Amino acid sequence: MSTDSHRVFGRRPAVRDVLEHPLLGLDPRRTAIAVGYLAVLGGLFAVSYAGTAITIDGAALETLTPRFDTVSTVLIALATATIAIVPFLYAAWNGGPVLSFAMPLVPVAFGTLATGQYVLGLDAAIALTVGGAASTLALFATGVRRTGSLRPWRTADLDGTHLLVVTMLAVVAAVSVGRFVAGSPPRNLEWYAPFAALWLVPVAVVGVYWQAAMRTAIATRTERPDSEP
Amino acid sequence: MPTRRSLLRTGGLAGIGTLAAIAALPSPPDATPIDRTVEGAEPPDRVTRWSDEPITTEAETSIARYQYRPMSARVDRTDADAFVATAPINVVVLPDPATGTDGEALEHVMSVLEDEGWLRQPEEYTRYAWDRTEGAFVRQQATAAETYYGTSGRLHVRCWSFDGVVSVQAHEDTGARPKHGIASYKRGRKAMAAIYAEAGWDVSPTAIDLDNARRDYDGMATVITEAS
Repeated sequence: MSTDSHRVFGRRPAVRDVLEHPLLGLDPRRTAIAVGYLAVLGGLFAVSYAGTAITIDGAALETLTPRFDTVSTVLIALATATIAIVPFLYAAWNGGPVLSFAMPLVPVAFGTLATGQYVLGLDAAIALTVGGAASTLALFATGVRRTGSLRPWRTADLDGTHLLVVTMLAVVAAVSVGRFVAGSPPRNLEWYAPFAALWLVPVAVVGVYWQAAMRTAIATRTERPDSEP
Repeated sequence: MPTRRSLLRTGGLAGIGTLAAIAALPSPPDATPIDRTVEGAEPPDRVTRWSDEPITTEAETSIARYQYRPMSARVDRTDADAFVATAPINVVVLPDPATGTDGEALEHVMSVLEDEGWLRQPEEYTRYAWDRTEGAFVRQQATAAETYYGTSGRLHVRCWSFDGVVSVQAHEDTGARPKHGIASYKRGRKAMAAIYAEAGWDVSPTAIDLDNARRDYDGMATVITEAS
């Protein structure tokens, strides 16, 4: 009965299908929790933004109560954690290379929407670095969980689509961060420096996976008989 | 086993997707290095009357000396004892008087930072400055920072414009751990000098004694004047 009503409205199965996509996460329930967390972050951002944007008798809402400073304190702490740490925790907990990549970019995107300034600042460069590293960690974590081995790239059922998507994301992040590094004054490079070490993660993971994929491809080709119909 | 054609198609799509994503992402801003040497200019006549002796009270001139925060909720904005100073004003900007009202002049000053890729009204705490004409503390009128959250550090300014004089509190934030702290006032002042000099404004380093030294800042505010 309930299934029928879902079909009639067609909405919830669609949302569920999206949440079940392995590129977002292994367990749809955990994926939903992550999406819910980002929604809460969005809600908090909206409250903070409303404090400065909404005025009553010419006075901003936040001047009426200093509690908005508390909102800003919490939001800065949460946004920073979401940009720098949470994507790694999510990747290890639930895989999902695309959501792991997108997660740190979400608070940055909120800021872009609020200010209307579309620039590749330091926060964005850090988010791309973390996103690139977290998405490769997600690929690795997914593999470990599927195969039960700490060297999941050695197994035969290597997921080509996931590897390709993760590689694309890492390349996009690397080129953008490269442009940021090339065009930034020294102070920005100094602030970016602690995050530069994170590039070891995508380089190592993507490198090892592609090496394994190439080896498999060559092995398959040499085993195949030359004569084709 | 995928065919050669399907492999080429997948590879081609991945390549196009990657290029499209790279093209869609924004470019880094054209930011000015703050360590460049700024050629000092003589302070304009408008401020020479303020440059002889230290300014020691908020009521003395149109320049604010500190930014403040209220000590409790719902304070009386005219009660000087209800606010506590948090950071010193360290830059004074004088836009061309012909620019227009205080609000228009302030926007004109902020446009230089926007051209540097700074974000207006980033995530920040609300601070106040004393407006001697109104006899009350007024909320920050314009703010900007290099990034919205300052994950790893950022330059950040809060500005007030009274009687055509823009008082700026410029500082470098520490990274959010999880709150921001002050890394330097001096580097904030230096950054403003470098950025406005690059934009063609006249810079008179350490021209006015605001008697508001804190941490690495000596209490001498830099005056930046729009070149006429």
